[in-house]
Amino acid sequence: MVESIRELRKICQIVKHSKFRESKFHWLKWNFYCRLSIYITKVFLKLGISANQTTLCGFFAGIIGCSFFVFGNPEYWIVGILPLYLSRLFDAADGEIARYNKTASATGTYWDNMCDISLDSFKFACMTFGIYSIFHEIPVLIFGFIATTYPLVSLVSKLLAYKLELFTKTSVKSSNTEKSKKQKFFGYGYIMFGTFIALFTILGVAIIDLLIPAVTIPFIGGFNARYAYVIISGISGLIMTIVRVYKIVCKG
Amino acid sequence: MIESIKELRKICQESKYGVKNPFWPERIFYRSISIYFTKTFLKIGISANQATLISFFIGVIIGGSFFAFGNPKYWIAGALMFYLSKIVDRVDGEIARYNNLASVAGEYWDDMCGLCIGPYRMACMTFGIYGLFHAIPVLIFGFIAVTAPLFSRISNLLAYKLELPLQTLVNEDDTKTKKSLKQTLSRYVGLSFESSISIIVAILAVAMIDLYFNVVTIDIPLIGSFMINARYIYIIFYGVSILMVTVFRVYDIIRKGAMPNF
Repeated sequence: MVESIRELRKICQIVKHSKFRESKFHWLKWNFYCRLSIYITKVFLKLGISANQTTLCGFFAGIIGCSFFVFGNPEYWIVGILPLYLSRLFDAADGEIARYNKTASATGTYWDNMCDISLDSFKFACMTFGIYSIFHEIPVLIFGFIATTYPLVSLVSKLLAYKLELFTKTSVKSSNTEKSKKQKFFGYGYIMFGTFIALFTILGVAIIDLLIPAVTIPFIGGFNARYAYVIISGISGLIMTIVRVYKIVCKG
Repeated sequence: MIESIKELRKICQESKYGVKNPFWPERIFYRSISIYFTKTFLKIGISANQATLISFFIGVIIGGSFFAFGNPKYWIAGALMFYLSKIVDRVDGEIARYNNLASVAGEYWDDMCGLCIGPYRMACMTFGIYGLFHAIPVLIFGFIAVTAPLFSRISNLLAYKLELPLQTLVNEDDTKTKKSLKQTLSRYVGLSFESSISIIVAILAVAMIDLYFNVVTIDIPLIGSFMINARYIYIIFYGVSILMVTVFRVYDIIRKGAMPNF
């Protein structure tokens, strides 16, 4: 028999989050994901669904959510956020199931990360098509390509450094005072961009577009809030990646 | 004073593999030419990282941009520029070996630059084809072709980072009979896709075909009619095949819980 919600929380959630207690954004994750995900965990444990299958459920929910972004209408975007949010919940639940069943493994993490990263770029690809269906301009596609590839390139830039074992030297130095703070800040910034804030930003941007019609700007053409979101996330991600690569190459 | 070409070859090229590069296309197409670039660059005093940057600019800014035009002649020019950038890409390693400055950071820089060229090239190709046909499926296949090589790279690197154990061969017999054949086959298929020579040859061939043949329109009942030319087929094939290989690899890794040995 599966334990009550309170017991499950102790087994599945407290273990992991005791480490993250001191972080600034802990409450966000706690309130928006962990509060609800435990119910999914309970249902899935009753049904006997494994952690990897949960990840797959989350992946499909994400694909469905992203598919809504293909349409130009902002109302569809708002609807699409719901499955996307659900997929984040599944994402939190799969770790909990793995912890409950004690099947947490590197392979599971691998599968989880692969699903995450493909959803991330698929989301931007769908958004590009949605915005392109409104404006029919080539710059939309260019920025769309940038936004789609930047999460992948930035991940590769990190992983490649791991593979070539560049991080082993720096991590010893940075365990001291200032640098670790800075690194922490960047780490949480990435988490914010990746999961928490992205959904709210999309929601906000879609609502803005619902209320304010698209503006025509000379040289650029049609412009609305969602287009701005794609541009900003693409360019900022790209610049961050370039800066990181530059830093790694300079410091070795 | 810088040594003669023959001496330079000994210092920069043969030291890497012991005697000679065992892979013959590499030797004939790249290393035979790249040594002259190395000599000029050494004379001017360009460092290895700067050589990487030069190759990046030739490949990306100039070579890749040629593909954004619909005309196949531009594609042929782009493929030649791409070839040039690949030659200069060999030069940086040789300079580093000559100066005894070969480092992991240099390798990282080299890899990152090499990585960016592929997606950029495919993106430009997509724009070129889209300029011809103005059909949405082109964009869809373009997105697949742009992201698939990156996915394939991530699927490898993530396995490294999470330190999944290396796959071990079950029997000693397997290495001799079946598995070795399968592995060599997959290795050659991989080479034909990933190695830059075959990419250049494929782009050249595809552009030549388009130069002489007209666009074909294919009618599929219920779905509609599509315009197709050789370059479009190349993009579709490239993206979908790499995506399939990646999906199979990820499936393999998850099922066995171990990294395949390449």
